[in-house]
Amino acid sequence: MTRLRNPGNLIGGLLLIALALFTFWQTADLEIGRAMRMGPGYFPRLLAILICAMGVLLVAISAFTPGPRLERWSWGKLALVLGAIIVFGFTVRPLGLVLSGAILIVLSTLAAPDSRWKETAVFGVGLLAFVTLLFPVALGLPLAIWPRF
Amino acid sequence: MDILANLWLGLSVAASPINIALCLLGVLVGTLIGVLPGIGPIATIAMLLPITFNLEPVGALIMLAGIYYGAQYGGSTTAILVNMPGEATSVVTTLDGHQMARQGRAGAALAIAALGSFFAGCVATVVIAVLGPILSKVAQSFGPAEYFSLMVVGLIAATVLASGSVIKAIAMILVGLLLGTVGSDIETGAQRLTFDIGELADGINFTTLAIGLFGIAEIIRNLERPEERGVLDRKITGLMPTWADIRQSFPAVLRGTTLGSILGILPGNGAVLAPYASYTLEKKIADDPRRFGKGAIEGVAGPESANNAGAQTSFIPLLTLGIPPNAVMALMVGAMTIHGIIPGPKVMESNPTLFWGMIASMWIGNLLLVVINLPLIGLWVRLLKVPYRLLFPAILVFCCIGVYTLNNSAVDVVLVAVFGFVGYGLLKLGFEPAPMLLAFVLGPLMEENLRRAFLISRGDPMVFVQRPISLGLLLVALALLAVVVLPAVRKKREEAFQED
Repeated sequence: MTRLRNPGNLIGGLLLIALALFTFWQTADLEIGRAMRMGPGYFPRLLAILICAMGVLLVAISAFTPGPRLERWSWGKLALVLGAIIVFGFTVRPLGLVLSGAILIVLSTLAAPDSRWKETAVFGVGLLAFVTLLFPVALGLPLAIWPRF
Repeated sequence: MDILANLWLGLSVAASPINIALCLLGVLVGTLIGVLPGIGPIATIAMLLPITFNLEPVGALIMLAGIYYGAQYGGSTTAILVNMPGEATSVVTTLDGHQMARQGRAGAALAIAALGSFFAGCVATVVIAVLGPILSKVAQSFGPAEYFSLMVVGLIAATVLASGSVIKAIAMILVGLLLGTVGSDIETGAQRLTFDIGELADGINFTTLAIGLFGIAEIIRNLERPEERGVLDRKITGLMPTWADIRQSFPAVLRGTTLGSILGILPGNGAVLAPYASYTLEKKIADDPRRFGKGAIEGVAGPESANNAGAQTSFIPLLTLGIPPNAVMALMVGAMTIHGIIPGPKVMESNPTLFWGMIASMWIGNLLLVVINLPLIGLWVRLLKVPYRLLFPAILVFCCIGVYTLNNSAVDVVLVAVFGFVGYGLLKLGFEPAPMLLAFVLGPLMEENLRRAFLISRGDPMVFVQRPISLGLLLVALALLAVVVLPAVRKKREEAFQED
């Protein structure tokens, strides 16, 4: 396989085309209306057409002009940080702020190249104490602090 | 004098103890995030939006504005001491500011940056007070066609000023507009692109989008790069600049302030260009341009003043036309709508205390920054030594709590992760996310005005070119597009962004 000449533009362009097609498919049952009285589908589909055009342009450009190589993706770090966020989202109600916050800190610290666990433990306890005092206690936001059984 | 009376009204609002306290809190938080690399004003303001629910609207906006210009100050501190721009706008300051620090003149560089910014802030406040009423009068004659064309200008200008490919920037704007259409249609109530997720019926939450695109994506990006922060260990002495320093930098401050004030008013984030423009100008007119890059004090004074002036005058399009010129101002729109204020030309009449209070608070905030920050520099330096491995989990905790408490729903938190993924992908593929956020905010406004304009003209698209103001604006947009495509300018633009 030959190396792509301009992978950033090519992939970006293809993704834009895909987004445009996806929008067309998802707005298929919305009424378009006419310019004088636009329906809910008019503006999104107008945008989809323009996005598609930009995508085609990018793909075309990528065929003729060289571009920088793609940067490597750090899938591991990405998965850890995004996973930590999602886990927090689902655990904060049942487990409460302190436990779900601790999980978030531990999971995300796994993504750091130079983690030191003792340091993180001390810092994490302080941080959780601070946010607990700030959000549910001082600002009165409706957050559970401890797990509900 | 009307202006004096108005400013007096504003001062009486802004000088209430609670508002001074909020302003102080804002500039302190702003400086903090400005000093710390890897977290910018966009993500911070987005995170703090939910907290402002409980405040008075004036106080909330005073605090958020304080974060914005506080971050500009803090960014320059990092630029000078660590040779790392805390904010994108302080990139230029690293060139000469850090050289000064190496020559043992960090104190003078920091002081000139702070005093120049203070001067620029004062001038910009007056500019807003003078121009604000005039522009909002003009804006009141705007119909839907004019508003639509004005937003087109703003968005095109945003693509011109975005770094990298213009096509990619335009694509980002279009995607932002598309994201803005998610939710119930305003006229028919039909669900658009909501995928039957109840939380999306009101549209994508602005906070969620901003935190994901800017906060989370930046964190993952920073984790990839090994950390290098050569914090200056030498003690900073001689904070006061000498008379020679002041004499040398004052003209640069004046020029920088003028440039920044003008560029800041332009739609489409002209303020970003201000420090670059000022640095180039100073270098051009200097007797000995070779001094630049080796610790020329004008190279700090000019861009820093331009930066702060631009940051403040960029409030003008927001406060008078209701159209945010950049992503931070777009957040301010969010903050205003939360409190039931629709930004636009009528704000000044219907909410004079808010309008003038906010303007007066900028002056107070600038004063606070000089008084507080110069003595606090030692503290900021120590904060810079907090390693990133501790910093980013803390940022994540704040982001997650902030987003969750928007609606107490896990869906919002998951969406942050989704947008974080999108933001990371955009960075990797060379797309800049800032124009997308701006377009996301303008999207619903644009669609509404487009619909109204067509309704009035009975579907005739000529309405946009038959009305003189609208035609003029569209011509400006065309000219801007032409300018980018011209090869000579394109090269200049690439050079300007090369220095990143």
